[in-house]
Amino acid sequence: MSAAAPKSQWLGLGLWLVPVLCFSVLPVAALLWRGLGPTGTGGLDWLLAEGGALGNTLLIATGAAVLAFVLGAPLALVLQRTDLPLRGAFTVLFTLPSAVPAFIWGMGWLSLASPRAGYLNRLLGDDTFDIYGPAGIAFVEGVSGLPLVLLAGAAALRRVDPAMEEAARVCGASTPRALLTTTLPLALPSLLSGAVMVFLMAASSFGVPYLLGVSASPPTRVLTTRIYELVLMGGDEGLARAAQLATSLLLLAPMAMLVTWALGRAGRVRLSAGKGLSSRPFPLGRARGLVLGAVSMTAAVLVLLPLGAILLTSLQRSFGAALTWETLTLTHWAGVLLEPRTLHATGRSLLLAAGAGVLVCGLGLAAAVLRRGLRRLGPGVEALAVWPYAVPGTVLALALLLAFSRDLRFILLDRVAFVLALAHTPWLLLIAYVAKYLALGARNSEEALAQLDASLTEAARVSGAGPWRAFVDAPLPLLRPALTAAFVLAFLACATEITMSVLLVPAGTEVLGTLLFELQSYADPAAAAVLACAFIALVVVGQALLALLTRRPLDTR
Amino acid sequence: MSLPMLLRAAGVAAALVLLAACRIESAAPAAGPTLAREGTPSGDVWVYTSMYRHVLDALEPLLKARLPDVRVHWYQAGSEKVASRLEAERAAGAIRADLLATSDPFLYERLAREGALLRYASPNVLRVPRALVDLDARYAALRLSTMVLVHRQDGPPPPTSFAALAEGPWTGRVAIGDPLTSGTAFTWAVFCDAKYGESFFPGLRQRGAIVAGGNAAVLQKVESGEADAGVLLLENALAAQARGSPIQVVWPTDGAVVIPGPAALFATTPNPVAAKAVVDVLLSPEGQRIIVEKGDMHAVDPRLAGPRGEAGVSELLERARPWTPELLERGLTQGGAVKERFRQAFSQ
Repeated sequence: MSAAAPKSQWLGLGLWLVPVLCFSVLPVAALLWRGLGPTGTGGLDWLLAEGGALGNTLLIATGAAVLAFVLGAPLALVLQRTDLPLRGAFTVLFTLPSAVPAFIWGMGWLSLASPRAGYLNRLLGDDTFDIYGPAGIAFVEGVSGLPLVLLAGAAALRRVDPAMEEAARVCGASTPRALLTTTLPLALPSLLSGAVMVFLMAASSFGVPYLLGVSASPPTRVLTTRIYELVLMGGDEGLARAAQLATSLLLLAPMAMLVTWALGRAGRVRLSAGKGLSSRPFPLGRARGLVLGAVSMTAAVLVLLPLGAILLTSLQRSFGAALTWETLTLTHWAGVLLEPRTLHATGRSLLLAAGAGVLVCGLGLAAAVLRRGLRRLGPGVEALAVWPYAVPGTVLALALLLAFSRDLRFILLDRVAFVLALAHTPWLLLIAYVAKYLALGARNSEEALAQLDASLTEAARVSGAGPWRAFVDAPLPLLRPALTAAFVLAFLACATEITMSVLLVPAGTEVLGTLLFELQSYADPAAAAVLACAFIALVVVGQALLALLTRRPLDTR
Repeated sequence: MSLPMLLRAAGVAAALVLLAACRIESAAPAAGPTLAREGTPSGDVWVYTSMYRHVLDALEPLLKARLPDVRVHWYQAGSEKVASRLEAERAAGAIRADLLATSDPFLYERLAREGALLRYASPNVLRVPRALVDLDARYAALRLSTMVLVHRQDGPPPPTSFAALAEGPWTGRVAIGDPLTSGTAFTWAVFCDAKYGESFFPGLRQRGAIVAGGNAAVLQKVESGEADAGVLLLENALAAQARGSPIQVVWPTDGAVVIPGPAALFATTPNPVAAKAVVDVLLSPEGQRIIVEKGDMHAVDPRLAGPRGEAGVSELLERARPWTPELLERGLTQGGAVKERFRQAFSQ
């Protein structure tokens, strides 16, 4: 971390670069190169023909990011810094959108607000809502990206030194003013970074745009659905066009990062205190009831309503049937949960997701530290970490298949050989998960680290600690909230990831993602909804157990 | 130079030398140890398939009993996903699969023309109706999916033919699969495009047809009442009926579209004896019965009845439009154009 040890820094950079390059950046680059190779630059005018898809992607992703930011920033503030009752429960509730696979989330909204048959439309009269089209997609994506903003913001708010606020108060500012003028700007970079992640997530997501876009009239096509269509066309031409589109998606990542950097510059104030007074919750006073009502309403409409719809779907014999007691049945639940296969798949998925979460945090933290240490190359390191997040899952999975279907043999002096055989092993899944979600770890730790002053580490070094020890003792504890947020987000995303899982799963085994895909595409949506509900229950129970074990308020841990 | 510096330099130099001496080779995954060219089938067989999980589960004991020495590894996903994975593995030059059993006839024809398939005529194919047999024995139909019309029991009167969806007196809303992403919907689109010409897709669009993703989405839209009728696979409709959904099947008067799900061996297979034996078992009457009873699909064996009380394969072929070489050719060479026409018609 310190500039006094440049050699170890280069070594660290090498150690970080080798896995990231080998397992995510180079395979994707090879696939794109393969696609771009035969047509060369002649495809530019063809790219213009896809302008509609590009425009839709930008529109939807921006809409989703704005929605997530507008909802997430006040929620983070209210849930983290006020004396609102049930804050912990609300935080868990607003984290759930990440635990539900996006397409199931979309299906919940579909059964609520599809033009003729949605329950809300039946209740309020025909065609009050139309979930199809760009607006619907942006809405669903924004809500399911809400945790990215909320958790990142909450972690930032916990990190902010309360001494600042105290100073503002001493200078005569009222409590709300102190909160809004000192603490909020300091948390802004993290909140914006979360919003950018939502932007990238929405731009590279496939499930929701496909579910809600294809049935719109005229169909809403975005880059990812076009890429999927082109990949399915097969042959070299389809792949070439898909590669061109994927490249344009890749350009969005650095652009978005540049925007956050420009917007968040004002908030980059270094904080030097290690541990100050614990921050004082802002008393809401008489507005408490009002705020409680508003937060509960938001939670009810945005989270509980679709969850209820999903639960209802899991209990019905046929999708969207009229609501009577006779149409409800528990057969789906018995049929899915009593299968030993479900248990195996769940166990495997949880293990993979936990492994991926740990790796995401570790590699992400390393990326952030390197970003700080290497002044010139820093942004490059960050870009490498964030880029794969903007790659659609299909493209990433195909790239990995292309690169690792063959066994790689490293032969040393014709004597010693290492064989890297990844095809049809779970390791390939782990690699895909880590590669895709590394950005969550990198961005969260980067924003957290940006606000820590080097003087903390220096103090530790002066007191006689080695560089490693100094890092573990001084900045790491302060980074913990951000890292746990990254872990939770990566874990939830990986546990129910579908697109890449279906393509990369080893023959003969199953994970939750493939099970969900099978249930969704054949058995019936109800069975997929059962699995989603069971997973949500698992997440809530897990959070509650964790809270009980550590005996701390249930929060963003 | 001090000693530690020297040591460090020597270490770096040694590492560089080692690195320079390192050679990277890539190779197709090593096959299992037993590579019987003849004799009793044994060893591993890798099958890439789009057959449903529960059908595979039911097939497993049968395979175990018939071929005790063979270990079958299933990679199961949707037809399109299997094709994508296969395409990537072919591009890398390392096809792990010995056997392919999905439901996209055009893919098989393309692979066969590219010389990727191994010819094999199973003795069990002899009973199969001629229309379904590839006379060059490059692949063999294993099961038949059928595109039919469906509607809700209590809904408005259903259309009686595919042609009625685009023109004529019926004016409901129909849900169809997306030919751009769903293989079965694409096959259906090729048939309709060939029979009714270029006005079919614009006609569909004008009548307000709803494009849904795959077959499951079509079923959802019909069940929930968002659409009045749907173009759906028979097996999905039968499975939905069995779990209590109010879905009714209408056999279109202008012919249902039968989509054969073939099986084929790869020319690269390291274990052809066992792979051929697996095909034989799948085509045997017992294997076919499992496909009918568990998968709700039609068997290719004319001795077996259809799924859930439907008639057998001979009668199905009478109710369906015939597969002709021209259609196959059309789907294969003009598939892109058909997709483009569909996209144009619906983007207005």
